[in-house]
Amino acid sequence: MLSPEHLHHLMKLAHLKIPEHEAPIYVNSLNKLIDILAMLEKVELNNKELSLSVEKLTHLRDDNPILPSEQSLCEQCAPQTISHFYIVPKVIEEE
Amino acid sequence: MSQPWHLRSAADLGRALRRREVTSVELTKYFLNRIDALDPKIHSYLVVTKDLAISQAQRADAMIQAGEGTLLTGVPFAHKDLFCTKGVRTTAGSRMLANFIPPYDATVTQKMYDAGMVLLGKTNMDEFAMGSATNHSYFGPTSNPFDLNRVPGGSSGGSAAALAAGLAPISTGSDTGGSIRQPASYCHLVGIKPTYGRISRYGMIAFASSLDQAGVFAHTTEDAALLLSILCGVDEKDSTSSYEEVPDFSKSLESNQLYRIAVPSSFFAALDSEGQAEFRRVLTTLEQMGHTVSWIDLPIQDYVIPTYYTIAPAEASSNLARYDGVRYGHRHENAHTLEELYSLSRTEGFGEEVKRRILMGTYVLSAGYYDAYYQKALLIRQHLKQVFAKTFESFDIIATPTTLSAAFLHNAHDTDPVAMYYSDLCTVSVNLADLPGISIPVMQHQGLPFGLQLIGRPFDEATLLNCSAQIERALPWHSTHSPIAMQEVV
Repeated sequence: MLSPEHLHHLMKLAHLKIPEHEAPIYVNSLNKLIDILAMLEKVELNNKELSLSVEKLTHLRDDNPILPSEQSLCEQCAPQTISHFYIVPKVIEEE
Repeated sequence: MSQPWHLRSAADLGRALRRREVTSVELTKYFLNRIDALDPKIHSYLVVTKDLAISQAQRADAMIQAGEGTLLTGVPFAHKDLFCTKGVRTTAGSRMLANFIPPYDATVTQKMYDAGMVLLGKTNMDEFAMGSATNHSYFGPTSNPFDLNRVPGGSSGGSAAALAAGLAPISTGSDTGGSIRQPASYCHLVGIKPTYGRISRYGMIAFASSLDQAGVFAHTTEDAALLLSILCGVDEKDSTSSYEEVPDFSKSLESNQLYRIAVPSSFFAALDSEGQAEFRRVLTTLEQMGHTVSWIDLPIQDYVIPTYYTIAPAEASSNLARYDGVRYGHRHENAHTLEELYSLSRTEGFGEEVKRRILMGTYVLSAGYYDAYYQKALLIRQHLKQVFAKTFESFDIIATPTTLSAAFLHNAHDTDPVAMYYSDLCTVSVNLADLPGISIPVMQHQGLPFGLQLIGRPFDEATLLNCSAQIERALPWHSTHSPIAMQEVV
């Protein structure tokens, strides 16, 4: 079962913040879902091997990087940019 | 007297365009007028692209005049707001992308433009396609045109409702666990999800990449076949798209080929007595048509929902990690640290259901649970594919109900979101096994529509469409319209 402490750990991993008063709602619904997942343990598979789902049909191609032809359009989607750089809060403090 | 334009099929509209009975501009204005007047009742559109539609219609008229294009050239369409449209806001139903204007078109969008089709607007959906009711949209819920107190299904509920209300003649959707077939079932439509890999996912905002597949809503099997022929095919921008040859699906509709149809008894048993009677009526018709109908044991229904709700959230938690407030999407205004920027932007940008699934995905992928849940679910997925492959050694088609009832009431599952997950019971296995599936509108439950699902072999959409066309000839469904579709707009 998922505990409130475990929820906090998941929130940290997922970069999410859930207000304290909403935490029990999430714990409750996630625990209902985890109860359903318990069914997986009961399925006997005789250690069947995994394989890619469409291995016969998937094709590989050379991964050649290309510059986006419309960089300015991409930058228009960004919340904050300056001189073609994305702006983020300061990561390294000045001495 | 001929039917009004909005009660006619897309193919009929295409034929009328080619006979010069109407122009694409006139048709487009007709549907835009209906959207203006009637969409406030159901909220199926998020954006109506009026000016773009008129200019595309003018171009389509020129193509028709020059004898170019296909039967769908000049036909307007509604587009799920999951497909990127260059210069047109694309939100995926989320606050996270409320102001996102893509710098490029999805391959699906581009193919429809290339075919001379006319974009009426972008349709409402559950946020990031996570839901079965179109009530998890940041922009508000969509209602079912057959009963405004009920949901249209989801996640592609806006696309389904727009068709059922006569606000578009054909539309697109995406289907990760039933998001085309379930709304088609609830809104009296044909809805087809082709085999995984048939249609490029490039520019389709990702939910669970190994399950996501684009598809079509239509009033008739012919319409679905025509649009599917346009959309399918390999795409160098999507390495999971298939090289499998794409037939002209509209040419596979006429024959009366007889099929061996398997009916899993477990899905039948899950219906109530009224649903069972309706389902039996359709099976009897299939037998009278000469098809062989056999009851089979397909004991998968106990584990398909847990398997799906392990794999899909796991992939969602990974896919949605890209939304961090830096390059695009919602950004918290006053973050002081990078971690604050990430977490506050994501917390504000995502709705409750998306957060729940991200947390669930994080849980099943985290240390101590990965093997027990995620790895086991992947193994079960392989097992499921083998179960289906074995069944298709003896049968051509598997028939099930698409849903276990008609559309449920708004807020029916508000206090227990997990209960809503079971509305996908009949559909998720098709995505897990990468198979094609179609829902066709031949049944009713308490006076409301619910669909028959046909499942086929990988890349054998032609068989599903042929069988659907045969059923359409035997049990024509075109005289049933929603109350909103029956409203004329002056």
